[in-house]
Amino acid sequence: MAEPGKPILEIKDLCKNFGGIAAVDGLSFMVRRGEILGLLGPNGSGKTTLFNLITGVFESDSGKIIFQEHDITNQLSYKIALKGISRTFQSTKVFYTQTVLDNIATAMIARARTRHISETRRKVADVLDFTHLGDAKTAIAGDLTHAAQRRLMVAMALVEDPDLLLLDEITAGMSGEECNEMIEMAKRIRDRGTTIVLIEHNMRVAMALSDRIVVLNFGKKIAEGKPEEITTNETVLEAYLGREEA
Amino acid sequence: MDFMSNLLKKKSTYIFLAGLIFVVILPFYSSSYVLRVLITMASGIIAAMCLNVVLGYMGYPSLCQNVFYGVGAYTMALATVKLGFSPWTALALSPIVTFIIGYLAAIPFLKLRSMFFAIATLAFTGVVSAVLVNLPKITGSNAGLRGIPRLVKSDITFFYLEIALILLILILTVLMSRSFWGKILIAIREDEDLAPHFGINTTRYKRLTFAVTSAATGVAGAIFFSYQTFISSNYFTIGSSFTALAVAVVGGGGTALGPIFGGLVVVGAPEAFRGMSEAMSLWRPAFVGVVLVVVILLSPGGIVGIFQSVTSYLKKRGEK
Repeated sequence: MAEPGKPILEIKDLCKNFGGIAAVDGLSFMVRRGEILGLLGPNGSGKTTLFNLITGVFESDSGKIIFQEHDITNQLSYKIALKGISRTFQSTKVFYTQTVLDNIATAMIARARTRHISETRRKVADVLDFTHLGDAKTAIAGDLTHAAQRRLMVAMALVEDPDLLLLDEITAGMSGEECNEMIEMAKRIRDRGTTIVLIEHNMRVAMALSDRIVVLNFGKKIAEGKPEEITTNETVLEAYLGREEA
Repeated sequence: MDFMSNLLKKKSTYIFLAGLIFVVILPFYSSSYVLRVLITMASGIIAAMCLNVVLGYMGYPSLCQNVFYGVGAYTMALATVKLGFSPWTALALSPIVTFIIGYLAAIPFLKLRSMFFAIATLAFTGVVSAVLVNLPKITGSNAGLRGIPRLVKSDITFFYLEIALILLILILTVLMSRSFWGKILIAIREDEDLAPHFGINTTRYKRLTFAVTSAATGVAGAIFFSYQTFISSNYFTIGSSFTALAVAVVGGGGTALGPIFGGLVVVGAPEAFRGMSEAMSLWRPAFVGVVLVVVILLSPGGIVGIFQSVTSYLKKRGEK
């Protein structure tokens, strides 16, 4: 296990093309253990594609993904999950016809059989409490509010205490108050020792949460630094707002 | 002990036991024709119960269940008639052969989903059907193979053999649905792309489930054609592959008891047409289609779905 501050994830010269379009183009950066790294960029800049490459949904064309000093490039999704990388999705993805408890149980199946039932029960109770879903544990996931479904998705990703959590727009479709709750939750996740990489379109959320930010445009890294550095970066402003014609 | 006392408190336990006693004494009051219908129906129910795991729990609409039924049946026929094995040895061989073929078939087919999977499995049925017709020296083609030895002498014992297999598959299905395996299959059905992100090797569980249910279907085929003592390629056409699907869907996909009710309606009820005039008996195949459409329109959950809706309505009325 890497020490705090040491790299937990390294992206090295990663490329992914769809037809003739480069979704991720020679991307390199690293994530340090214990930090929250914000991944920003306009629509189509390759953020979600990068998450899909890290979690084995897509195969990369070239480059390397190193997680905890192990090469996980192009490995199968389930193997990557077992190594300690967990994720949420831009559109809510849960098992809609199942109860909240069944959803969490399914998220634990791969590991739960190898440990004592009391440990599994403790983890379930802990995550229900952490995500404020205790009162809804017998509810059908499809009947929950949008915000509760998003929390359930986080609970499922979090229940096995991943080393790295990839959060893809966790505040999508949420009200201001719900966004604040999510910001609070993400900070508490980090306090548990989980490293977070988050994609966020809501600048307020991204700035409030991130220790560092990497900005992408057309699949390339155009900036990297602390939130206050990013807000004044000319290249970033240009990517978001466009170049002012003379 | 808690489990037993809970079981004894449930009304459904007594309904099940009454049903079981009825099934046990039924053959003694049945004509040989009715007994034949019962054995055919039981065999169809077993195939549908196996399909139900693949379709109802895992969400894969397989249209090649009769291929595995046929592989099991031909294993019984060839091993006994051509190779001289005893029928019980052949019965032991049939799930092994069917498991291997089921697993091999699962490798390419389970890479496909929904209608693409359905079409591929239907095409597989067509290919196997053509192979059976075009290898007359081995399969007997349309003329068939005669003289398959019977596993047991009496028809009643055949019926009990099938009922025992139905009970075994029922128990295994209930246990599976409550185990991690059942949860994994439901996760695959609900969102196959999401499941691997929790460390679930979906490919492994899909292939094993497909192969195990194929093997059980093969046993049903072996028993039935040992009862029949004759097999021909005519039994394994593309059209016949819809029967197991109809039984599973009409009964209620993803429920352990669904295929049993489906079998009674889809395989059992059309037999009533046989006793009618020739003109009426021509309507027999249409009956299955009409029942299928009506049940899907009224209750996508099948007969079990209708039963659940009615009991939940009555429960709510009782609470008011």
